[in-house]
Amino acid sequence: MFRWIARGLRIGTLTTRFPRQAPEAEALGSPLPGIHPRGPERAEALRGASACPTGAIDVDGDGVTLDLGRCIGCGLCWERAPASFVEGPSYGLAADRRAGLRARARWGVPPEVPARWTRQMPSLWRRSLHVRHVDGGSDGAVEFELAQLNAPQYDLHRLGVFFTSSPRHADALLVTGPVTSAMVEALRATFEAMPAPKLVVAAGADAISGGLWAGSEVTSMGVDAVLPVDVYIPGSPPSPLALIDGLLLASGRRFAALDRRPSLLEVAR
Amino acid sequence: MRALLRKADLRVEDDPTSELERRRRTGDRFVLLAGLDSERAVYVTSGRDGAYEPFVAAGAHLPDAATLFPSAASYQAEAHELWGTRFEGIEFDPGVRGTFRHRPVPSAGAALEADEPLPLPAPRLAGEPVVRIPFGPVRDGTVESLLHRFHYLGEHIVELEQQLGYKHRAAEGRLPRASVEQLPVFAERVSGPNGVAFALAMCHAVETASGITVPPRADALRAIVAELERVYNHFRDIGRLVASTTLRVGAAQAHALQEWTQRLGAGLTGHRFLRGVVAVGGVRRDLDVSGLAREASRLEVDARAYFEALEATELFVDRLETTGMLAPERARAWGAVGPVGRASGVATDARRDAPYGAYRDQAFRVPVFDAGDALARFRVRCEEVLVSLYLIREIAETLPEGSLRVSAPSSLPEDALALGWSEGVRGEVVAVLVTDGGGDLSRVVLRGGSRHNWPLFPDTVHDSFLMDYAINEASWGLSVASHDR
Amino acid sequence: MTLALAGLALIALAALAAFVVPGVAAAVPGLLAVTGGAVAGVAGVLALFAPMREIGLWDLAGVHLRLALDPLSGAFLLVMALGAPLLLMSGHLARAGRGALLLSYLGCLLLVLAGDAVSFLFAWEMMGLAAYVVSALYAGRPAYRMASFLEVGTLALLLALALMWSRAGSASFAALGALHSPDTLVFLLLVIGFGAKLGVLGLHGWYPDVYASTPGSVAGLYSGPIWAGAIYGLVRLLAFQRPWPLGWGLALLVLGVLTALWATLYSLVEGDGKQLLAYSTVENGGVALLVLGATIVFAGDQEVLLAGLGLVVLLYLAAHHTVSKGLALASFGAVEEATGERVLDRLGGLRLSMPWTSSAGLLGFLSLAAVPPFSGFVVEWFVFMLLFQEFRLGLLGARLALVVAGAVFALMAAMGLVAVIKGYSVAYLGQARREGAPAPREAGWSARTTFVMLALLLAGVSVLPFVLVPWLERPVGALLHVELAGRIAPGNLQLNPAYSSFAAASSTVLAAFVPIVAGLAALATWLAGGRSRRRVPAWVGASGDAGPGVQYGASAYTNPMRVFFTSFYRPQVEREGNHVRTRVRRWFVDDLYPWLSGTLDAVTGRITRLQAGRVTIYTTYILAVFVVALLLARLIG
Repeated sequence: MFRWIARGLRIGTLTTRFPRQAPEAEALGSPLPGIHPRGPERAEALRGASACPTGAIDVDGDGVTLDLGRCIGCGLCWERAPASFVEGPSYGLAADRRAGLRARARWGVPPEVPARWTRQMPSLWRRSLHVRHVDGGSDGAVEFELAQLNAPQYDLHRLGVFFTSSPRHADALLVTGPVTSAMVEALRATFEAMPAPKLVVAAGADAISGGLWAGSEVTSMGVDAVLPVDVYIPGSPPSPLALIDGLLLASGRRFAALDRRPSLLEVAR
Repeated sequence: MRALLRKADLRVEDDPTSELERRRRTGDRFVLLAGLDSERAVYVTSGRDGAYEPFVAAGAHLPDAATLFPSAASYQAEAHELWGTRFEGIEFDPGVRGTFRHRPVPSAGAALEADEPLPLPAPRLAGEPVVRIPFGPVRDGTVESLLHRFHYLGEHIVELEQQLGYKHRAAEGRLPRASVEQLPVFAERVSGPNGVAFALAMCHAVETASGITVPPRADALRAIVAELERVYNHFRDIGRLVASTTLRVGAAQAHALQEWTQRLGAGLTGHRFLRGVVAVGGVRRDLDVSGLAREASRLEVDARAYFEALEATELFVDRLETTGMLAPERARAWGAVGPVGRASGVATDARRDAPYGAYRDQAFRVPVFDAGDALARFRVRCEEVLVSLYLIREIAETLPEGSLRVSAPSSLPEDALALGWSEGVRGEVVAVLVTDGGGDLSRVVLRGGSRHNWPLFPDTVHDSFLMDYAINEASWGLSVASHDR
Repeated sequence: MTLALAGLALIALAALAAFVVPGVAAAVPGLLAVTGGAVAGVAGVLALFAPMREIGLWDLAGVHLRLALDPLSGAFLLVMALGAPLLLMSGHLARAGRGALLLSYLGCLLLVLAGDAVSFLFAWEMMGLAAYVVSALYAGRPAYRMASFLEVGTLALLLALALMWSRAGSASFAALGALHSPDTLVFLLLVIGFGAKLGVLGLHGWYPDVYASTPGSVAGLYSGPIWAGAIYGLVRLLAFQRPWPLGWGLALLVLGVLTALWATLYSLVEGDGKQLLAYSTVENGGVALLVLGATIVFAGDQEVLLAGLGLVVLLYLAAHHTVSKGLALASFGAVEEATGERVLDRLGGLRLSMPWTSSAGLLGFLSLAAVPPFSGFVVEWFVFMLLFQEFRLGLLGARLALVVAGAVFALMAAMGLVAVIKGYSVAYLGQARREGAPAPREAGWSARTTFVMLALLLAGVSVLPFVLVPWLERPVGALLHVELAGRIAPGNLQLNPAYSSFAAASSTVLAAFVPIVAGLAALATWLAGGRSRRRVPAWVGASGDAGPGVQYGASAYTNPMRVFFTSFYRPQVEREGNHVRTRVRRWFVDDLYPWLSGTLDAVTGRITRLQAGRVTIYTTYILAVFVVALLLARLIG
């Protein structure tokens, strides 16, 4: 046993300084797109929209709507249409309404950043939030990132957020994956088994909108087709930073102004 | 070595039974069986030389291959449940939950849960004194959904009944509607942590079908990314195994190693899961491998020290020794793949037996053990991490110059069947593309190592102890999403 | 005395009625018998305060048969009366069984009233044989085995009484009591004799099978009055062997502890409810021997107060066991009758369908599990306090023996608790394990009346020990010539283990205190918001698999113990198709008895060869004996 303690001491502290300060550059990864700061260009935007496998880019007469809830982060849009779409941040995008994930821009006009957080969360969970995770049919990557939240680099325990096994002890239900028809009852049973007050968090594009698999006869169009969702964390999969950001907002923690989180206009690298 | 069968030589076997028997006699390994529709199925086996041999069989009732190849049983069940294929002498009960079909087939346009879910199959053991413990589908921790029903006598597990398919997303049904350009994007997300291997297999199949050759620089970059994926997955599986033995400090250090590897990958490719690199005809963009060899060496030193520390921890090694025994004969008859197979003496590795890409020019070790217990599976993974880091160094240092991508075809050949494969983290990934008369995809099959190995897992849990179950499952390290698709 | 005789007469009348009257008035013999028992009990209480009374019966072959009622007999009459309500449930038995059962009970009372060796033996045989008749009506072989063990015991008793009689010159208990010459052979014979009934280690093999096949109320009588009769006999006849050598006490201590431990180990892994309770009875028999052994050790070292405490505890144990085991077996017997099942893993879910039976069973089982404030708790507390005061002894060996006995008793008490709680919760609580079986119907009015009467008696014994103990002190004080008044039950609601400075406990206060505290807690919860409640299904990982097969069973609950003590149990798991069975090794029944009977068979087989069956061989034998006799006569003469 001493060998392990000695190893640990030698390796030293690895924990990221996020959220007190901006995260280290190496921690960034899995970016989502943003609309170009100068505004989209029509012909290009159409090319980007046709390349998008999930239909996250909607082009209408006046401009473009980018729905991060559907975006799987494949990067085809910013590859095909670099003047209209850019690589955006990988965290700081969590919202409490579905509309908070949709950015809109008219042709040639800088995009409007939607209000992300509109409600005051109860102070009940500010110091400790217990989360029950349910896998509704994800591709497995989000579970990797969730498990990494307890790795030394992120250490979720220091923030007072814990994963619990029993829904009876849980405050928040974190759902990943498009809810498959086989998991619908299980998800509802878990929700019923949680005592009020409770939250539902949808993490990942699959959970928010069904992702690539939406609309088949065995998948839903997102968790909100089954349960009322309180927090949406976009990403495919959302990086650990994005998950921390979403969970802290859900627990009612106020980042001194939500401006320590990068907005859509910032480019990640 | 690729496999492409055009309509002219797309033999529909007249006598699938004797074909299967012939392959059994020559010692072939069963790879997959996939239903194409209610009257046809494609079979793939792998010969002793490592070559994949597909054939298609047609008929109102196809022969029961499970008598010759035990692993065929679960594929036949899937073919029947999803595609309606029928097999000689096998009756499937439509009133009971199958593996992939948890609800009766819904009528068009009906809501997601219009009908009641089908009842679980009746428990295999009649009551007293046996107690039944249903574990799942919502299990503890951040793990994937599946149902394990233990028949339990108090510390002693008599039998384990496994029910998968909770995560079935009908991915194979969605894939044919994707454009050729988007196929790798879809394949990456069928099984997230194995995305590179799945995308590689898919791209190989498309490249075989279109007859295009990937430039060497792209091959090398693909190999680097594939090996990086192997490294971080193995770190994660080792971490879960160590955590199951309650050596928390050791587990934390494994997850730290995983995080370093994923950050290295993110710095290299821009995505923590190495997505957006593999594309049809090559890679989507260039990668800057300038510091990669040095980082890989540092990681190798850290990993080696970590593995040595684990092997020297008696408590840890004791828990793994003789736990979850998978007998080599059983593994061989099943054709177990990946680290699980290699830990039970089945020495298969698609990178060596049917080489593709940059592996054709590399010589590397494939670790094989005979013990078949959790310790052997752990050791296989440790060795593979070191081999992968070595490969990354080698390929990064000798990266050829050249183009990154050959232009993808606009369409695929008509009435063809194309096979593509790669060695994924948990076993070989095989992709089968079937096109129709108009050159459109009519069927896409994507089978990973987990799909093949999961039905074998309960064999190691019957007649064991509950305290060993968690360690055993962690030592197998299989992906449910890859199985359920 | 007259009252006691009146009681006996009522029971005899009831027995006659049971034999003669057809089934339509089945309740009548039961009611008569219960009344007779109650009358006898009252007589017993009165006898505690009166000097001994004797009645001569008739002369039989030179022996003057008599009945005597002294405080000790009175105490045991009270104990027997505590078991009388079980007779009310005898209406379920066949006519012959009913009558035999009542005769057996009559034998118990006669045993206690016997005043000389012959009537004692007569009553003992009546008690045993009538019990055999009842059991034989249900299962031949187990009853036969019981009879054979009991006859071995009776033989030993016969020899012991004969030895004492020859030494004293008269068969009357008064004469025997004036002997004052302890004889180890007699002691051993008495232990074998009464041990066969109590089930000491080696002679316990008949217990489980007989209890399994006999109806619950009958088994309750076996564990109650008949069992107490064995204790009475042991105390009475051993009292004739005073002064007691210290070695006897140690021997009884060891035997009692081993018996109790052995029985507890088997009750822990027993899957049949009645057999579990049978092993519990054997365990209590071991405890009785343990207490008696401690008494003799203390008496041998001149600690008369503690010896007196020991005997009081023994009497209290008899009362506790009669009423608690009677209630538990009556309840379980009703369950068996309603469901047709004895195996715990096939029962369950009776709380709502059989509320009376479940409540009665709860009280009985909790008392057996020694949960405060029931009588079992009082007994266990007393035994611990008795053993813990070993420091007052002088002899190191004796002190060590008592310490070890205390440690083993603690282990045994813990395992016994697990076993009894398992028995109750698996059988009565949870969901019914047999799917598709119809809901069982609640027991009839006779059973319910029995439950209520026994529950009230249990409450009395548990909550009013400060009344009962002074009564029990009287015979003990007379027997050991020690003044116990106020030392054990000092008049307030407490109990002391002979020395008030050592410890004190009060089941009376607990009985009042615990419900009050529980009620306050419930009120606090309700006020704090327990009003808003939402009922949701049990959480089974959302699998939807929440049927009866998912709840814990008896085997699963104690299988870890089976694995832990694997070298003792040698457990085996057998799988046939989709059925699984577990088995443990019964060392006596599976190994020792077959070996003994096999050896006996072999030896007697050899001897049988002497009987060649031919006249020529026999004449040769006669010739040989003649020759040898002549030679001997020549040599000696």
